[in-house]
Parts: sequence; structure tokens; C-alpha cells
Amino acid sequence: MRLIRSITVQTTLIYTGLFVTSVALLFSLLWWQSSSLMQTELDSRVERESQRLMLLFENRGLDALRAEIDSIGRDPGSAIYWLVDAGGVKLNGNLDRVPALVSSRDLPDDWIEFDYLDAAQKEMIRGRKFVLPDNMVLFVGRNSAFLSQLGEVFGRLLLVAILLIIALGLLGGRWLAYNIDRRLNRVNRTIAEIMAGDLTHRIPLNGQDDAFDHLADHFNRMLDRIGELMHAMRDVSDNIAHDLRTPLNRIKNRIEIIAKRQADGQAIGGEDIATVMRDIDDVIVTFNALLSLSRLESGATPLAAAASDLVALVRDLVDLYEPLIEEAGVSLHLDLPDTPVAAHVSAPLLVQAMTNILDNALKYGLQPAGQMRIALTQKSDAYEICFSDDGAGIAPEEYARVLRRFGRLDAARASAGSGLGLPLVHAIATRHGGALRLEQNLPHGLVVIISLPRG
Amino acid sequence: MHILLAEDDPQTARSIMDGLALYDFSITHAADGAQALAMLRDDAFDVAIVDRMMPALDGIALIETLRRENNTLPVLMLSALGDVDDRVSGLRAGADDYLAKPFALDELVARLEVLVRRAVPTTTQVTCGDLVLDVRTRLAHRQGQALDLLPREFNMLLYMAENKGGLVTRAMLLEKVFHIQFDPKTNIIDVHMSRLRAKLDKGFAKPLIKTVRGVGFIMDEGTCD
Repeated sequence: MRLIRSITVQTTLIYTGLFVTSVALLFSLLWWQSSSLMQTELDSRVERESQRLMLLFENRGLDALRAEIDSIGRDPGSAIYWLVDAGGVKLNGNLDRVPALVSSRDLPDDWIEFDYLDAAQKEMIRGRKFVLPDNMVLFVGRNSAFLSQLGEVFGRLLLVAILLIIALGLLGGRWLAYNIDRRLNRVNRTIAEIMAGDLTHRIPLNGQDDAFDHLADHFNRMLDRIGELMHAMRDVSDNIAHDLRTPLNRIKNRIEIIAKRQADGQAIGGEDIATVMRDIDDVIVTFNALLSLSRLESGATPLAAAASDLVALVRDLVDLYEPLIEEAGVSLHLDLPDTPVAAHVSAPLLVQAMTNILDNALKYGLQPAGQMRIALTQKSDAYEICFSDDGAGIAPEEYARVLRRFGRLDAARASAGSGLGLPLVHAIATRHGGALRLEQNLPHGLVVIISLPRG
Repeated sequence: MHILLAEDDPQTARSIMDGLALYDFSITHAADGAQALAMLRDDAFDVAIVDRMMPALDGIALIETLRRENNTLPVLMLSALGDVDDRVSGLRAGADDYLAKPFALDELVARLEVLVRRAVPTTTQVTCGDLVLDVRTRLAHRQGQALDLLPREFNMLLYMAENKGGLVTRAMLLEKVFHIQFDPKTNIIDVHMSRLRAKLDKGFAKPLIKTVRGVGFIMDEGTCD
């Protein structure tokens, strides 16, 4: 929660900062634009006024100028006029005093700005001075205090705007944090309940189809998947426990008998110990198969694949299994290409897969006078090794079950076998990028197909 | 027979040494790969048992180092990794044989004896008593009488004869004759063996191959005489 808080705090701060900066920039721009516009307006008025007065002076002489200054200078709020003679003595004007610079003859025809302290308030005056013949100086100006007042107004407005933005930003951030907290808390509560062991809990959606709903939906689907996997896992562990407990129990009983015989002074037969060893071997075989399956399915170790001739692999295997198949009273038909079929496979793994299929066929699929067919076909994108028998077969709805670990059919439960044979074949085919397929053989029987990708 | 055992797990090492002591082997123990390499460089051994996963220097690296130094000592690799792919990578590294844990003591001893006997140069003819096997023509004769054997049967018989006097396990026949790198735990080898025996002993008084119950087969000096 601290993290989320800090994220909302960060977001709020960043956005408030950005807003404040952009508003300040906007205000400065506005102020700069309007003040320069107003100053230009002021300057052009001063310019026009002074030109009129200069013209008056040239055409009608000093007296006319002085009379005009007196006359127009009396209007309140009008322009500022200042006329001094060569000695610096004020002739006419509507100010009591001016800075020396205004009356001096240096810097002729220049713009001048100065503060003017009235009885009531401090004013700012901006204007232009002209040096007239006979060294008289005329200054025409305007009160420009409104320019700095404008700046002050803008500054105050900016301050208010910034305070408003900060206040709104903090409120918004608080609201955002509250909303995120509320919804995340709901997720966290659900997670806590799940961690406490109840996997049936799901995060409620609020129907707004927003990012939170999407997250919750994904999370719920992940929980569904985990639930399925846990269920499968529980099944597997139950099966492992059951399948290993049975031989372990047999071993224990047999050792108890041996110990009892020894206590009674009876001879211990080699057969007793051999049986125990066989049972221990069964347990080891099951463990090995489980480990092989896990390693194949995890894909942790790279596949030691090399170019191998599939035809030779099948022939070698047939060489090994021929006597067993003959002894089962089954006739074997081989349908193999005459030329080698090179494939990039792990030959030992593939042989193990085919061995498992043949063992299964011998154990469950074949019956006396039956037929077995092994074929290797080359499809455009895959090699297929098919093992067909004409035994009882497996119902299609049971296919998924026999590919599951320990997913033995009820009919097979009585006979020896780990229930890991076909899952191992499936894992080996998948590890090669191929697949294991089960099909019906007509009119009855099973076809097991290992398909391996070409190239 | 002087054996070097490179095994880092003290309990496994103890049980292997106790087991091999029953067969009057002399065993030296190295607790890791580096120690084993030093011992193999200093002393003469008949065979080495090397665990695949060891600290300091693992089994694969140890064997590769030995082979680079032109040391041809027979090496049997032991491993908790029992997958067929692991076998192949172990053998490819230069091990002469590979045994996955857990294993039967008989299996280990039988394989060690084969490794030590291996030094005998391959001749064109292998005999055992009245049995003569011609390696080049792949013909088998008993008391001068030709035996009608399938190629795989000849191979099995040849392997038995080459290792006469020593125990040959089912797993060894699967690996060496049928190139199957794992034990499918079926009676398949027994079926092959009974067919071979039917052809081998038919009409002869003395069976050449004896079964050692629960373990394997032996074509020993007694049967060969």
C-alpha cells in the first residue's frame, strides 16, 4: 500500500508541477504581450502629441506653445508636459518637479522613464524630450504606472491560479489514491483469502470494462488455470502414493516374513529375497519413469538430437521384439521404405518411445492369431511411425486418460505396469516437436502414431 | 583388481566399497574429481569408477582430461541421471560404460570385469570349449558342426564368448547387442536367450550358457571345458 500511495503521490506531484509551470508560462506570455502592446500604444500617442506641439512651435512661436501647454495640461488624467528655458527654469508644465535628466540638454530626442512621487501615490512617467532652439527643452510624457500595475495584477492572478491548481491537484490525487487503494484492496483481500487456502475466491468485476476489470479478469482466469493444475497435480500425487505404497507394502510384508523365519531358526530361501528385489526394482522403474517424464516435460536439458535413420531404428527394434511377437502368436507386417529416412532425432529416446508402444501392444493389444503392423510413412511435413494392432482397442473417449500419468484403464490395473508408458511416449514425441496420436483401427484395435516434424 | 572410486557422496562411496570388498577387489577412494585426477596420474589402476556429478572436477571433465592425456584406463561412469540421453553424453565424453543409480551390485561387478578383460585383442576367432566363432565370416561351429544362427543370435553368442567366465547381465546384452540404452524390464532377453540355447545346445550333451538367477548369464570356463 505504501508503494501505491507513493505512486499516486508521485503522479499528483508531477502533474501539479506540470500544470503550475504551464499556467505560469501562459500568464507570462499574456503579460508580456499585453504590456508591450500597451507600451507601443502609449509611445505612439506621445509621438503624435509631441509632433503636434513641435509643429505649433515652429509655425506660431513659443507663446502659442506655452498657451497650448497650459490649456491642455489642465485636463486631469491627460498627458504630462514640461517646458524649461535655457537656464533650466520651468516655463510651463503640469508637474511640480522632474529629475535633472529631463531638463538637461544631454541625450537630446530620447525616451525617458522616471518615478514621480505625487502627494497621494508613486507614479511612473514615460515620455520623450526634445531640445528646442534657444536650448529650451520640451518633455511630453504619459503616466505609465498602469504598465507595472498590469504586471502586479497578472502576478496576483497567477498566484491564485497556482494555489487553485495545487489544491485541486492534491484533492484529485487523494481521490485517485483512494480509488486505486479501494480496488487494489479488493484484489489483495482476495489474494490473502487464496493464500489462506481457499482457491475458490475470485476478484469481483465492477462491470466498467476498464483496466482494473481486465486485470481482475486475467487474474481470475489464472486462478482457474492454477486450480486445474493443482487438481491434476493432486491426482498425480495420489496416484504416485498409491502406486508406490502397494509395492512398498509388499516389500515390508516379505521382510517381516524373512525376519520371522530367521527368528524361528528357519532357512531363508533365495526366492524370498529375489521377490523383494523385484518389488524394489518396480519402485525404481516407476521413479525413473517419473523423473524422465519431468525432465522431458520441463525441457530443462537440451535434446541430444543427431541425424538418424528411422528405418534402421525401427528394424533394430523389430529385431529385438520379433521373438516376443512370434511367441504371442501374432503375425507382424512391416511397411518400411527401402531407402534410409534421415531425421534429426534423439535415437535413444525414440527407441525408448517405440519400445513402450510395443510393450503396451504385447501386454494389452495383441491376442493370439492377431496381426500387428508397423509402418513408416513420409508426409509432406512429417514422418509418421504407426503401430497398428487388431486387439480390443481403446474407446476414443479414453484417449486423454491413457496419456495422463498413471491414467491406466481399469482393465489394465490388474497387470504389471507403471501407467507411465504412454505419457512418456507422448512427452518424447512432444519434446521432438512432434505429437502422439491414437486412432481406431477398423474393425477393431488401436493405432498409435508417433509423428515427427520433417527438417 | 585395483579400482579407483571417484565419488563425492560418502555414504554411496561406503556402500560401493563394502560391496566390492566382497569380491576381493582393492579399492582406492577419491572424494572429488581433482583428487581422482591426481591419483590416476600417480598410480596404476585397472579400472576407474567415476561419479558424474562431483565438486572440483565433474566426471565428464575428468574423463575428457584423461583422454586428452592419452590415458586409456577403462572408466565406468556412475550417475544419478539415468535418462537415455545422459548415457549417450557420458559415453560420448569417453566413458567405456555407464551405470545409472540405483544399480545392483552384480551389475556393477559384471561390467567392471568386462572392462578389465577388454584389453584382450580382438582375434578373428573366438572359442569356448567346442564352440568356434569366426568373427569375419560370422559362422558358428560346435564340434565342427555349423550352427544355423540369425545375425542377432550370432552377436549375442559372440558377446557371451568374448566375455567367457564373466557374468553378463540382461542390461549388458541389451546395450551391447541390441543397442538399447535402457532396460525395458521385460523378459525379452530371456526369450532371445532361450532361442539361442535351443539352437546352440540341440544335440549336444553339455549346455554352454548357464543362467544366474535374477542377474544374467554366464558362459564360464566350466561349461567351455
